[in-house]
Amino acid sequence: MKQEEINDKSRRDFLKQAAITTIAATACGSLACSCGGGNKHEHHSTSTATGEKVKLLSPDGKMIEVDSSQLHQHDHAMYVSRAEARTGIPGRKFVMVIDLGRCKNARKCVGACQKMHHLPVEKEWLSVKLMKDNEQSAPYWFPKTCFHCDNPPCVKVCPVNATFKRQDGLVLIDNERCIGCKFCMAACPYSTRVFNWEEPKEDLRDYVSSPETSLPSKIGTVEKCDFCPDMVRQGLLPDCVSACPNGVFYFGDENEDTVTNGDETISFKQLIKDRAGYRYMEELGTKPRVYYLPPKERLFPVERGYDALPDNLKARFKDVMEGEKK
Amino acid sequence: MPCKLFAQTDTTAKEEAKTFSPLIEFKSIQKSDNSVDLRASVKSKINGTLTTLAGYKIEFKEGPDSVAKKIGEAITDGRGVAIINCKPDQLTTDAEGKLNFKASFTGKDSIESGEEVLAVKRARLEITPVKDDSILNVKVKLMDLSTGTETPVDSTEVGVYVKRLFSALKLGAGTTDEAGEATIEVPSNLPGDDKGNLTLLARLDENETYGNLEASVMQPWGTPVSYEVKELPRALWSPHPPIWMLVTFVVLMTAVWGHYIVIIFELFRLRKEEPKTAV
Amino acid sequence: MELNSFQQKAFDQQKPTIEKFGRRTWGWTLFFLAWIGFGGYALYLQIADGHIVTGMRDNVVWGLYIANFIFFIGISYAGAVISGILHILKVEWRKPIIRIAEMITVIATLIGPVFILLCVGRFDRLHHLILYPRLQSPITWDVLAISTYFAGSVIFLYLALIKDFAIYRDAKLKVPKWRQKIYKALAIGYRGTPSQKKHIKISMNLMAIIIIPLAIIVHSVLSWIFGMTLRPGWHSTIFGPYFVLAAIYSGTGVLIMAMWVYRRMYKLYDYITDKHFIYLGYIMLVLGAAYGYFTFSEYLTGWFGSEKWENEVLHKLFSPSEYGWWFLFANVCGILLPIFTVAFPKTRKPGWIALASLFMVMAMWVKRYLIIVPTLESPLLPMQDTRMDYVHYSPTWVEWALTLAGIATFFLFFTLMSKFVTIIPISEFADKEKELIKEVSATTSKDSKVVPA
Repeated sequence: MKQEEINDKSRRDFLKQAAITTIAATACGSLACSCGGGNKHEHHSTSTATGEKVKLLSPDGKMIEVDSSQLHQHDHAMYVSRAEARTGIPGRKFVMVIDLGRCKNARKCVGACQKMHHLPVEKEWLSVKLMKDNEQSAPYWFPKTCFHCDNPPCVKVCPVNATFKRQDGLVLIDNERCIGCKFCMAACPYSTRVFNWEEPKEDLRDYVSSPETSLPSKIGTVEKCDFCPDMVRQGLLPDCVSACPNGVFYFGDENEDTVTNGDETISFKQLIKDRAGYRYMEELGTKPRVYYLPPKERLFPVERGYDALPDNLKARFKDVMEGEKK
Repeated sequence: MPCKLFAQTDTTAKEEAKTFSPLIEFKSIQKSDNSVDLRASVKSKINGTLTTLAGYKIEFKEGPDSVAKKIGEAITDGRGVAIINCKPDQLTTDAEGKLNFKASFTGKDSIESGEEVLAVKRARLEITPVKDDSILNVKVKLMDLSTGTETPVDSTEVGVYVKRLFSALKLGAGTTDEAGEATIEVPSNLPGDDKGNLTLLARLDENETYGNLEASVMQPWGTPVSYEVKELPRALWSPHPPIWMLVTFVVLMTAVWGHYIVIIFELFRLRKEEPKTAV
Repeated sequence: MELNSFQQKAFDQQKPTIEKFGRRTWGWTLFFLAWIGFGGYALYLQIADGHIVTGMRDNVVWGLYIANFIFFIGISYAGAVISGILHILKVEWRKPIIRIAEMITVIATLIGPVFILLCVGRFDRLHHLILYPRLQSPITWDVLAISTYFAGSVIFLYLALIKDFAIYRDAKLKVPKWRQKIYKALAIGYRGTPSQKKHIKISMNLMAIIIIPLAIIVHSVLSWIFGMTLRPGWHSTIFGPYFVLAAIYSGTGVLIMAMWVYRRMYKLYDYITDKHFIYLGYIMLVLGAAYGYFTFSEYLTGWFGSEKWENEVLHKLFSPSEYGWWFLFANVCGILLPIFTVAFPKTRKPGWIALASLFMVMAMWVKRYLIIVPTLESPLLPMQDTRMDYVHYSPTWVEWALTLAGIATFFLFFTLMSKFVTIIPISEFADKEKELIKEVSATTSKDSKVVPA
């Protein structure tokens, strides 16, 4: 893949130009077509302009006007070229903080992620585990996304550079490049990656392929949580963050030293310092970009997240909960 | 801009003849340039879940009920939020100096129509940077414009924020004095953009009389963050291997395949040496 | 090409096997082809429906296919041991068996990588390995190492065959014209001139030298596919040497088995003698002891340290309700059985040694499976999954069918090869007459002491 030549204009200008060009053209990313090395895609033909102008927010927070016919096309209208998808959003270093004291296993995050990425119900890019650190401690709900490690064991072992680390901290998968050797799945110590063992049940062919959306799912390739970079480019928080009713997920830019859960905005460094933020299995040396706040002063007792579950989900955690009751 | 058609088409298809009422959250934000942002978000409790409604048209009207004029319309985005900006010349104040707005939602499929009104007194918030040697402050001034003349508003808490990627980070707050002013300190080491610029916001949130007020100013008071797109360093996890690895590989491969080439060469020589006379 | 009396005898005996493609051969060929056909159907299903038809799931992402891959590359080390080490040590008794050894190497190295292709999700994208390679990945190392090793083994096998091709070319065999042509071409004009002999000698020496470090590198690289991950049971520093040793060990076992089969089938008792089995048996004993030592060291260290994740894997290996019986089988038949069979003079006979080798090879396959699957079933984070097929790996008939197809292909290639070239290399006995004279004179001097009055 050849790197696009970046001209002298600042990255912001380029992005703004890209945003306006992309939206004003078809919602299917003429950029993706021209730079991606011939990605085949089908898309809905653009409906005729209705003449109604709609004001939208561009990634820079500026108001732009677009014909309303452009809106009802697809999700993930912000497409970037493959080269840009590999470079990342300049100046950012994304980080997530998960407050374990607040999680009650509402699983709204899981549902939102599955909806956004068109995942079947059994496939979880974000899963909530019930962890019990030792015999004496109390169990707690543990939402686990991909940690987008700074020393990613998965990227190290990919033979074709299908999974890659970006400057903005994200680890993404190009499922057009992936050969499905599953070495990354064996290498990830956090079991975060999932494989497409069969043809996806939903017809996703209309979606333009992009590592930033991880769509469309391809049989025989690996996928995982991607921190929703296509949403982030539009200034929107990933769906798991906004879907959580208890504000468990904080997401933000480490360079800006700010994370937010949609309601509260807080300094990242301060949060980790004050609340003793830690990273899961720090000793593995993977340098995750997701920090956890210890489950001290819980909002909910752990049973709240267990009793309300349907039986098939309850069965997952039975061992841990039965052990608790003794 | 993102057009996620959350649930509406699916759920509305499932429901037969059941209608749902919309919950409209409507607020106004008066800006320091005297324009007003109108922000309406529409949700509905469909089958027990509170669902945001994206892709629905909201019509905004301005003025007291009797003489309300359409001032604009917008389609709710993926978050169910529709925003329009009203220019000062489009706005009329009533006898009390209040601005009246109405957001109406015409209803679609099985979502009923609904509307919300709000009335706020005309006001303006201003923010000015004040640099005192090395101490960075902003001065905020809150003025009531409902009477036609600028009247300072005292004893009101105004917050100062710095704009961030997804939201705004609170730096501090101050209560306005009799002159309607307050001075709030800005920390000196905040990260800014690639040029070190910060967008500082003054906000009065959810005030009973004035609604929401906002003012912003950009100052080069932040530390610059590099927006440079650099190639990733040679490492195990980057596209380019460490030099020693490359060297080792080349040496080993050359050594082994070199042997093979020598052998194949030897075999060619052998073939050439076939005696011309058949045995 | 002129043959001495010993060579002529050897050639006359083996000529029928390469001239005739009899009914028995057809029988075996068709039998193997049937298994391959069945595997072909399984492969078709796998391509059409996706890997969901296998037993692999998100936790156990590698199963039978990778076990087979490691197994086949492992047994390919027969050639490295015999042809490489024994050639450098100039051990005479290796001569009759080098062809079998090299054939095992080439064929196994050919079949092993096919199993990786079966395991890969998108083998329509394999060219990405060449277009977009990442040098840091152990799989890239693997691709390079195995292709280099394969090229080397083919060259080595061919070098040893040149002289024999010359013999076949000159012998006016009763074979179809196209085969005559092939023999002539492959003989590349070898006429036995001293200069030509030198070319071959130099080439073979070079090859023998290079193939030993190559063999060490290849299986080390393979082991690092596991060793470089952070999983318990895999992330062990012993993996490199462990796998190399296991490979040489299992290679020796397969060699013994092949020798026994060919000896019986083609009545090669004069050439593959009891001594061959005994000597190879000794080698197998030493390797088995070393392999046993490595195994013991590996598990003792893990057990003693009793780290949480290591304990999980060890529990699976030692618990009778999980993999305990398989683990016992792998260690008893894989280590103790061959050692004791060779150690006791009563069982130090070709039949027993070959039987022990059979069990040892099966045990080595089980060991490969036990390296891969229990570790993958013990991820660092709790699985908390109710889908049994995600929690526990059980291979499906598709995977078994393809495994058997691979084994059938292995045997098929052997059958066909043995119809193309003689199993015992004729050319290797060129110096046999001189040796025989030496031997006779030596025994005569000994006998003079034992002559009864």
